[in-house]
Amino acid sequence: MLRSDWLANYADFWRDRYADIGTAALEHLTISATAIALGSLVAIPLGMLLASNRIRWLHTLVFTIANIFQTVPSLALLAILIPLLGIGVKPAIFALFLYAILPILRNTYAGFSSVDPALVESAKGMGYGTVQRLLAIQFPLAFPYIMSGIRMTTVYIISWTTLASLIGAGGLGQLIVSGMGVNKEELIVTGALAAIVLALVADRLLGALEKRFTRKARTVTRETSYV
Amino acid sequence: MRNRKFVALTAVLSLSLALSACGGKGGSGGGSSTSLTIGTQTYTEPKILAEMYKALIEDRTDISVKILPDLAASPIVIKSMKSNEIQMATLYTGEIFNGHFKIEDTKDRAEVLRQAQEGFDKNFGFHWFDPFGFENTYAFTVRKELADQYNLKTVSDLAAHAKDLKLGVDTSWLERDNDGYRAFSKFYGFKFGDTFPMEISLVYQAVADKKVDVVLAYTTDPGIKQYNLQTLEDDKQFFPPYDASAVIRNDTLEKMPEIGDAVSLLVGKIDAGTMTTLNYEVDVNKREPREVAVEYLKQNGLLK
Amino acid sequence: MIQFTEVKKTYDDGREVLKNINLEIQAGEITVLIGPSGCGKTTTMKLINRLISPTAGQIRIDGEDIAKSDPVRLRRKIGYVIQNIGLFPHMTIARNVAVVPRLLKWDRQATDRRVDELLALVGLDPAIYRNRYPAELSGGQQQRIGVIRALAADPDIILMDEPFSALDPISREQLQNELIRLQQELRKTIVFVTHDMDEAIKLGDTIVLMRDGAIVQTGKPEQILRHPANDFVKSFIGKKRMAGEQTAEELPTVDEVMVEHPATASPTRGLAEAVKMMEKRRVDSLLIVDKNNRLQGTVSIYRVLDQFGEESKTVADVMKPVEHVVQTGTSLSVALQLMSEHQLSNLAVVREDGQFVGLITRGTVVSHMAGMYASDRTGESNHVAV
Repeated sequence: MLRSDWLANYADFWRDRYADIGTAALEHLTISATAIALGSLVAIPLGMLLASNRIRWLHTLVFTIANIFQTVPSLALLAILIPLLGIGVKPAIFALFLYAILPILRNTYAGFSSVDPALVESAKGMGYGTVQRLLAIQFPLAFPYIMSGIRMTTVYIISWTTLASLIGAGGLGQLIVSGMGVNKEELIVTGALAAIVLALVADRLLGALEKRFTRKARTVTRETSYV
Repeated sequence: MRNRKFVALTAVLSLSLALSACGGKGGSGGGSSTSLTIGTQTYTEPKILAEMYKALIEDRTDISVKILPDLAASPIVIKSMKSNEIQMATLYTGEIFNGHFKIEDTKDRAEVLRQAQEGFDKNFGFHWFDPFGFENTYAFTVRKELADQYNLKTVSDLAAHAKDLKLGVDTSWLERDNDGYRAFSKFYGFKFGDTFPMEISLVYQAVADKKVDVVLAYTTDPGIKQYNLQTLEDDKQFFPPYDASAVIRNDTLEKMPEIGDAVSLLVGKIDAGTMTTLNYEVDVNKREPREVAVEYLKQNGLLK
Repeated sequence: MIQFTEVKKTYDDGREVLKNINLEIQAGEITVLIGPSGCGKTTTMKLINRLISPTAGQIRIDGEDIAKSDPVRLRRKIGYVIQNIGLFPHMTIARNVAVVPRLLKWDRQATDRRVDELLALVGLDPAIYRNRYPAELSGGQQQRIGVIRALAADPDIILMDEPFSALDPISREQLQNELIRLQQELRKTIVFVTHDMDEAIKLGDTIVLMRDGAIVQTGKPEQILRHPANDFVKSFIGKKRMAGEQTAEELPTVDEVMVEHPATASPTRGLAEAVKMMEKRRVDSLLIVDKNNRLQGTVSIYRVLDQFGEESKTVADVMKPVEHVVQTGTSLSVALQLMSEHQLSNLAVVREDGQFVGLITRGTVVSHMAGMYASDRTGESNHVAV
């Protein structure tokens, strides 16, 4: 009785607000995707750079900075960003971009470090230039690591994008936070569920993408023939 | 510190869902006869007030008081009280517009108070004390120079310029029914060019940096003073009253009536100016809520 | 020709890995660098394709100082095979083989043709293997790919860094033979690093023996075997050869020495029959074996003649129990010791389950020893002929 009431009300709510919900979801997706894309663009080359040299202080410096980004509280970070980037979508994306750097960087670095040094030397000895070697040998071999870093980061950036509602950028966080403020559970539930669905779908899509690109090299040790 | 709220968003969310799932019959357990937990919202004002309750109660009784800070919003405070995870909190009379129970629409201060006291007693089993003597309601504010430039004194004065202005508001005002944006624009007959729902502390930063022009502030918020904002008079009386009161579970009060005696000492003792000053001490001068609360109580002879 | 002139290599930590290398590597030959680990043989090889640069000295290929060449272009002209095979797991076999042609921007058809040709060269059907991934191949097949990958762009020089050491002995031998076969056709300048003296002797036209960052001896395998420069070379050769051959030739087991079908009789035979059998086989004793081929005892001609008058007696009645036997697989030295200790003229060999399999006599031991010394001498001359 109570439940069917609630469901009927919830259906009404969707009828009234589907446009708002759609807008919020789209905002959420745009912010997350942009932040992750920017994070990957910066973190992957940076990880490659670090993995291809042994300059100790540079490693320490980069990882320390990335770590600091990670630990700055979001509200403080957003407050700092207001004079630079104003309010709305830009500072939200920038803050999330900073948060995305470290995990992608770490995984890229780990991926590149995991490549068998014998392979690297083999490539070098056969006449691969440094850039060619990075792109044709090390990158494809590190790719599963990089991809799992991006997947993991995507899932948590999508959940962190709720912080966009702190700075006027909207998104699903806006539904959740305002729902808490005005005692409207339907808003909270909808925002949370939509964020979960987005995260799951994004994870699946990236997983499928990863599989597509790495399927071949992974068909290992199925059949072993002998001389 | 306040950002913890958003890091823990999911946790809060599941808590609120769990609470609503088991709702209805009220909570059980917790709140032994010698201890009391006071919940607070995320902002400074209820935190200072909670420290005052704690200091008074511990001074005058043997009850030990715990404070549970940073509950994300007042509906969550109410749910936590209902489930007896906390027994006491600070609430504002305008809370009745959040749809907790049926009300008669009114903006009369005494009438809103009456409905809050009766409604929460009847529907929730809460004792709603008489107000402290200050309101913390919404107020439209603008930067001083903008007020001078357009000669703004009242909310109605905004009508002519609103479509060129950017409004910064807290995260939930746009969603409010009775006193939210939709009701407002119908009531005053104008809309702003752009609205930015934001964490309220960032709204002040944004107005100081001229990223927004108009701020829907809370009247006791020290940000108004700190950022030199001009408050515009609510000339058509749109916003309902938000008188602050201590609220406690009836059963707790029956078990420990001495709490009532202690807290009653504050009734009618704090006006809006005082509360704003206290908030300023914490938010702007970065002092501890506890220190500010105790200092106030001592100055007023409530604590030795 | 590759020429090392006064080449030194010292690492940053002060470790001197190459002291003063002067070396000429002849074109069209297999030159084997050999020595114990840490001797500098791999470092020497990596200097050639500039994976390592010398601290001092000069390396010239066909008269040109390689320090003046672009290392990447230099490496594309030198084939390289490493110990751990180093095939790229994310590339098909064809792509792996085509690595250097692609780096050199060969046109596609020429590259494909070359890949098929090379696969066929090592007996791998292109239609089957072209599109496989390295993980789908056995270790031996993978290293064949490693070898033809080094040949792909038809370089004059090929560097091979212990290429076969991770393979099982059978695959290793096959690949060594294939390399010899290929080299007869191709006549590449091959620098081959190994720590296995047998491999060096088998493959090398020239052997360069190194120790502690210096060259100890350079020469044809025959020269080094016949005239080892010092005790180190001697022990290095000796030790290696002992490990491979000594157990077979100098410490034979009883199995190799015993007579497999000595004169036996079943326990129920009469004494007259026993005498007849001894006459026929020209022996002075018989081993008595039951129908399950288990050793029961032994009778000598003296014991038979002693009791010959008793017509009803069988050999079982006159035989003596056998006090000493050895099991199959026992070292001959143990058997010999037993025989001399107990003044035995012969010694029976039984299997673990007690089945009688053969007999060692003084005669068989002598003839085995004679054969062994003769074959050892011819064995050595065989090595020289390789």
